[in-house]
Amino acid sequence: MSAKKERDEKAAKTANIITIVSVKGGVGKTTIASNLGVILSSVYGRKTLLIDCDFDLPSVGFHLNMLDPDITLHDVLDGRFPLNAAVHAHSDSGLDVILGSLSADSIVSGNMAELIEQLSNDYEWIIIDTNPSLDQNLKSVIRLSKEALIISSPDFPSISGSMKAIKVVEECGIKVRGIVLNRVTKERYELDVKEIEETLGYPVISSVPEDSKVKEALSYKKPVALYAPKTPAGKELKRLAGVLTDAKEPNGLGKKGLSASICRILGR
Amino acid sequence: MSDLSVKVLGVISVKGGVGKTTTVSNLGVILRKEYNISCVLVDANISVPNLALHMDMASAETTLQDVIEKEDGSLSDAVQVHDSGVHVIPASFSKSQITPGSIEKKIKALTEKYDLVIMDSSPGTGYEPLEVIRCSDALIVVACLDFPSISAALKSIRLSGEEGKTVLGVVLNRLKGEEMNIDDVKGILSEKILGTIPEDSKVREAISNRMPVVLFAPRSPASAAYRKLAEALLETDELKGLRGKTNVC
Repeated sequence: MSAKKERDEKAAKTANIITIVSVKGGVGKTTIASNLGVILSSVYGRKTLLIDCDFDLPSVGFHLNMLDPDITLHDVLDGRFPLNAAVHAHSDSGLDVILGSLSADSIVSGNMAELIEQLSNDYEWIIIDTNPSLDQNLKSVIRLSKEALIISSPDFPSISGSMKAIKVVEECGIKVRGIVLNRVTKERYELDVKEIEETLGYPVISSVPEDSKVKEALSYKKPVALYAPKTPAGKELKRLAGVLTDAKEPNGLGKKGLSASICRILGR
Repeated sequence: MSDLSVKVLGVISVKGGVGKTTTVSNLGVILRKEYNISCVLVDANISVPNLALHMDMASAETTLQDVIEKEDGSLSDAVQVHDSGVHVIPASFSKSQITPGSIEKKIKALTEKYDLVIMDSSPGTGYEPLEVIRCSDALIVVACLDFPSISAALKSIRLSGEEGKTVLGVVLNRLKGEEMNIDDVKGILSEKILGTIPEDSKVREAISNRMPVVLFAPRSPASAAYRKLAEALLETDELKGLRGKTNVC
């Protein structure tokens, strides 16, 4: 390929790189990441890559039935294999996936930037799953993305984690695309969307309902969007993927006022 | 001063959101209220401290970070007393970093004042959970019954082993009936299952009321399971010496 052609292609195709962030664990980062990946790829026909950057505990393989990959992100970052060798196709959806190694020790994501640059010419969407620790790995991964999606549950510990996550994303100079609330039960004691938006200063762009099919899907190592697309969670995840591909969606609330009642409880 | 083998009990999981903080707060309240054991709960999740949110103590003026970074600071100076009588050392929400090894240096003084120190941890494999493992004499691993969580539990057990620490066993949380077989999991993990806590909406409701569920809904299934867990812990060789202690702070 000529240098000029390469440049032209680069200009034409630069991926939307979105990092899935929550510094509180267990809120559903990998569930959201893997479902968005398969939906963008199989429903919206977008060329999409999902990268598992949870170096502590890569879980994407459990969600997509891609266990025991021969070549992982760890192998590429160690320089043992070229990047394209680590790209595996998820057969049910056509999504491309780069998996992490469950057995390797945690590594620093030193040369991730170069890797992402190579990949961003080949995909329309790159989704990056992350670890829940507030460490340098997380920050360097966030810096590689164009925008971040904050995943939270509608409870105090999770919202307080989201306040921290947003601070980190803002410090990295990356746009917060919005908040995704997961495992929403709508019980009377649950925090209200308005209050959450006021506290965090960004819109809640999706409320994914608590749905036993999500857990059931995980036990079959399939994303719920494929396992049970018509269930409440499956439908909402599809809608969320649509929102992400829609450039007209507003990106901020314009003002950032902290909800007084939540702040009092969080002690600040 | 006592000759118990376990003075510091760490509650860990490489995966987040499995219920570490819920386990710490409920165990602490039960051990203090029902067994009269003098214990202190330490929030060593520096990145995202949650313990104070579970126990409505988020407005504490002196926190873990305030005392450990000071040369002459003592952990006892950050102790707050919860309504239940259990003592708690909350972490600051705004100071996200500590010097590795700094809690370990000061934890011993705390064990001289209390019969048991229970430490809450952040997820992952970084320096924060390692600090908890290094401070602890023994560990409890919390997991849910799904593949990512069980693989995380294996990793937690391995990390503890690498630091030469005993794992007392595993607490399985949020059980709903249709999951992996508990005996299989026991085999995979090769550890004792110390307790099984059912999925119970009262737990979430309790958190929204900033109370441990054993206080908020003492008769709920989860509360009963936490009491059984406390009983099982006090039956282990490592912790049975705590029974009948009357060294009340």
